[in-house]
Formats: sequence, structure tokens, C-alpha cells
Amino acid sequence: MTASDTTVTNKNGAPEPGFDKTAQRILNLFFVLNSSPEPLTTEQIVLDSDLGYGSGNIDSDKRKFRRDREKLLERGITIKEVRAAGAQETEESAWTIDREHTFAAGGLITADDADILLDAIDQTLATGSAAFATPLADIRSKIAYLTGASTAEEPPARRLPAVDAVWSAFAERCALRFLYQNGHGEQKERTVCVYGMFEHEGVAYFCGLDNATDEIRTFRCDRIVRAWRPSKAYSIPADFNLNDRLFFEFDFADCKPVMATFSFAPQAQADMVSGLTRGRGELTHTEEGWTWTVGVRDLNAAASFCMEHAMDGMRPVAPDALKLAWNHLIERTVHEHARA
Amino acid sequence: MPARKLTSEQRLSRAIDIMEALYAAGETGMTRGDICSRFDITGAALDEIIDIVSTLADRESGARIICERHGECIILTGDAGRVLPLRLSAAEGAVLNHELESMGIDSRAAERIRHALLPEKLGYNQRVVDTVARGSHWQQLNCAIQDGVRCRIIYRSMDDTRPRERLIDPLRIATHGDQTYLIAWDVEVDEQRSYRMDKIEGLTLTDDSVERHAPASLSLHESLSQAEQSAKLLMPLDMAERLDWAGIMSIEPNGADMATVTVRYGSEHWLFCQVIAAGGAIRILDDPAQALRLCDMAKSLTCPL
Repeated sequence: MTASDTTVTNKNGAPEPGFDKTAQRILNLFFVLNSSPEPLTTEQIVLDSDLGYGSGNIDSDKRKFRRDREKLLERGITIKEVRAAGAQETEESAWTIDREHTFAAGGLITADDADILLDAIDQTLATGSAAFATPLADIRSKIAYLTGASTAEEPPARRLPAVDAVWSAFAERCALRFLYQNGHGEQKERTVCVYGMFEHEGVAYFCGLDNATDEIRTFRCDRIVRAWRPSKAYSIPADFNLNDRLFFEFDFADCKPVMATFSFAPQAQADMVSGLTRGRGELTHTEEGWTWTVGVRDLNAAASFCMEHAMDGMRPVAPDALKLAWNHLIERTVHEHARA
Repeated sequence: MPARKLTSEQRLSRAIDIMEALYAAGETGMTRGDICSRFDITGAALDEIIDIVSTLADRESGARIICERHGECIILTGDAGRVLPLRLSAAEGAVLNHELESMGIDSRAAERIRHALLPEKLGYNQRVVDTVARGSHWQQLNCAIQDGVRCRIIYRSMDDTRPRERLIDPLRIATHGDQTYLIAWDVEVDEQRSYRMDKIEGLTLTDDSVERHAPASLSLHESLSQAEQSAKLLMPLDMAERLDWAGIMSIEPNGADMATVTVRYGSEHWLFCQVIAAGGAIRILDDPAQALRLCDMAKSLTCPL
């Protein structure tokens, strides 16, 4: 029996507490499939009122069952459909937990693999990961458990309430309502479906669909003044690309972007060039050298960015307005020093 | 700060995580404090979850979960609540995948780890990233530091015209902003140096062990504080406060809205590029000869239209 019906009374005659019936139904589906030695048929599941289905409308219960499978899948629990060999398409489906894809395969990770990964995570945690401290600490605990590695020297994770609120909403795929203070000190309440998170120069950011503007926007976690519990579920568009959101100083201007091209010397290290360009725009490498073409809103800021990396061989190529802005930096520097 | 009231989604996630953790803890169970701390929930939220978990049952087999509460301790008894360690969630999987890629972990080891832990069907694409440049040699250098192995690196500093080989004793890896640096002892010059990780072009581990050196600097700032070259720069105060250069030693107000910044650096070429990038807003204060070199270099960078 389950307590799916809140009117049920317990042995003492007192009403059962008002359980979260959705969470209970999904947990019970997981429990029943996990403990059952045999797959359960669709009918066995959707007609079972103890499981939280059996509403009398079988199509509605089937849809509910499908949504519950998706909820479990988001948490890494895969429920697979099984059919006996030679079964007809019209025969009823049966369901079971896909153990291979649900449970971690501890034996596959060698002690050396675990050491490498734990070292990497410790290094990231030790440098104070702004965005991913919480999930990394959880992953670390799981790997340590699976491999029997010691957790004694686990570095403390730098948990920040605002980052945790964003991470929680992102992990649960539930829209986050928060009070946000922009760079000018203005506060506004917003609700955002978080599509991705990133860390840039030690600051945690998140991108997502902002209900106030109906556009994908980027926010700084440390500018969240207050966050409420995440609410409405959402899904992330398949074509969303977080790399497109990794901003540069030259992205901030109220004008349309123009395509600007920069070059690097042929011998410039691939690691350095790819790190500098962050997956944005188009990067090509030929015998003549590297070429990077990217949309730029503020050509003066782009020229400054290029100059900051001139010692890495970065130079402006096009358009002429970019080269003019570059030359202007030089002229003003020389002028100021000559004047002094 | 734990979430005060959980959403249904959070309750479901936490319940699964708690069942997994309680099964792993076995007969010793876990204390309420441990559970609340690990899963970032309040005691009331824990009670709510335990109440729900305790109702789970299978009518056909008669199996049910038994959650015993002994004072502060909570124990999951019997095999019915057996929840083996789960694979990572989609979001955690994205973080682990990112960690494997950004740290340049050996592809075979990374594949084994992915195979064992990641949720195969969830399409864990790159929805978490960072902009930290770590280069391609993080894993090997980290092993070399741990095992005390002397290394040869191919590296071109900002003032080198071509890459050259250096024999080093690696000491530690430091992060500053979006750059990672190897802090190492240069055996031939017998001094500590820092090397940008994304500019290390080649790495070979030698058969020799490192020698003991003075304690390594903990950060790039400490490492640069020992640099011989320094400059005093005049710039607007708000600009000075925004700068993230690791070698800044002091910022002193100098007149209305201006500041004198003392900076130590490893490469004059680097310093000049930063000064020129500010387009006249930064001026070298204390060394006319250096200012002259700056202007010469700036002019040499003029771009033909």
C-alpha cells in the first residue's frame, strides 16, 4: 500500500500527512521497478492506484507514466521497454530498469583513473571553482565511494548560496525566479529558464530564457539579491550553444555586430589560440597562420583586446575601422608619453 | 544556506540521493546532521522525505522500505530499498564531461570514466564551460608534481623569438583569472619561474627526480612579487581598481581620481602591450628610458591600412 490517497488514516486514526503525491508516485515507480524481479507490463503499472495511477482514464495514466519516466531519466534512472523475442508489435510492452545505464559501473574505473580524476577535481576545488563547486564535490564523493578512495583529504567546496540556487534550478530544469541587481545598481525581479552555466575570470554566470524580455540573456550569479524556489519545468532547446554566450569586452555596445578578422602567427600554439578565442566565431589555421573572424559590436574594445594579446602575435586584419582603432591606441599612447 | 521548502522536483531528487546514500552507509546509517549538510536541506525537509520514502511499497511482492530512526541516526534496513550508486544526473554529467575535457585527461581514462558514470542517453552536451586556459599538459604535469619528476618543456616566453627547451623541477600549478601557470624551478638558471600552461609546446618526463628547493610560492602574485622588473604607472583610479594583473603590488591615490600603481612583471613586452591597450590612459611614471622604449615599440606595431 502507498499513502497516495491523503484521506487514508494510519493505525492511530490520525490523517496521513499531506504528502507530495507526485514525488511519491515517481519514487514508488522507481522502487517497484527496482525491486521487481520481472518487468512489469504497461497495464500493471497504469491501472495500479497504489502506485499513483489508476485514475480511470487509461490514456491520461499512460501519459502520466511517460512523464514520470522522463523525470526519472533526468535523474539518471533509465526505464527501458522490453519485449519477449518474437513478440508482435501489438503486444503489450513491459518495463524494467535499465541497470547498465542507470547504475554506475564501479568496476570499470581503475584506482589510477580514480586518482587522476580526484586530483583534477581537487585542483579545481582548491582554486575555488566559482560555478561548479557543488556538483564537483558531489561527483567526488561518488567516485571516492565507488573506488574506496579516501575522502579524508577532500578540499572544502566553496559553496555560494546564489550559485547553488542557480545550479539547483539548472539541475532540476525548473525556472528560477530571482531579484537581480544590474551593473547600474537597478534591481528587478526576473524568472529565467537556465540553459547553461559558465565561469569566466573567477565569476559564475548563467544563460537562459528571460521571461521579462523573452530573449536568451546572460546573468552574473553574484548579482542575485534573492532567489525563490524554482518552479515551472522547462527543456533546453537542442540547438542552444553555450559557446556563443562566452562574451568578450567587445560585445557590449548598442549597435549591430560587424565581422572582424584577427590573425596569429603560424607558430602560435594551438592551445593558446583556442583558449583565447573561446570557441566563438570561425578559427582557421593555414601555412600562413591563424585567422579568427568573429562578430564585434565595439571596435575600440576589440582593438584593445587585440593589443592586450599582441605579445601572443595577435594582430587586426579587417575591417579598416578596426585597424584605425588599433592605430589610434598607439597614437594616443605615444602622444600622452611625449606630452609628459 | 539550505533551501527552506523544497519543490516537488527537489524532493524527488533529494529522496533518490538520500536512499542511495543510506544504502551505501549500510548498518551504521547516517546522522540527520550529515544528511542535511550533504544534501543541503533542513531537518523539516528531511522528515518530509523520510516520511515519503517510508511509504514506498510493492503490493505484489510485499516489499517495502524500512527507514529506522534511532535518535539522530537514520538507517535503511533490508534489501528492498537497495539503491546501488547511480550514474550521474544530466547536469552532473555535463560538469564531469567538462572536467575531463578541460583538464586534458588521457582519452582512454576519460572514456572509461565516461562509460562508468555518465548517463548515456541524456545528450550531455557542453552546457557548462569555463574560459580558463589550461593547455594540453595538465595531467602529465600534475603527475610529475606529485611524483617529484624532473621535466623538460618546450616553451617560448613573450620575449623569446623562438621556443626553447628548459629543464625544470615542477612545483605547483596556479590559477589567476582565466590563466593557469606552472610554477617551477628552472634548473639551469637556478631560479623559480612561472610558465603559462597554454604556451607549453612540449613536455618530456626525465628519469631524474626533482631536487629540494625553497618552498614554492603559493600564487602567481607571490611568484611575481620576487620578479626583478617593476614599474610605476599613473592611471585613473577606477581603472586601477578593475585591473586583474597578478603582479600589482600597490595602488596609491594620486591626485583627483588618479592612482599610482606599482607592478612587478616578468616581461617588458607584456607590460607595454597592456599600457598601449589602454590607449593613453596609462602612463609610465618613473623611468623615461622605459617610456621611450614603449613609444618605439608602439610605433613598430602601427598597422598599414
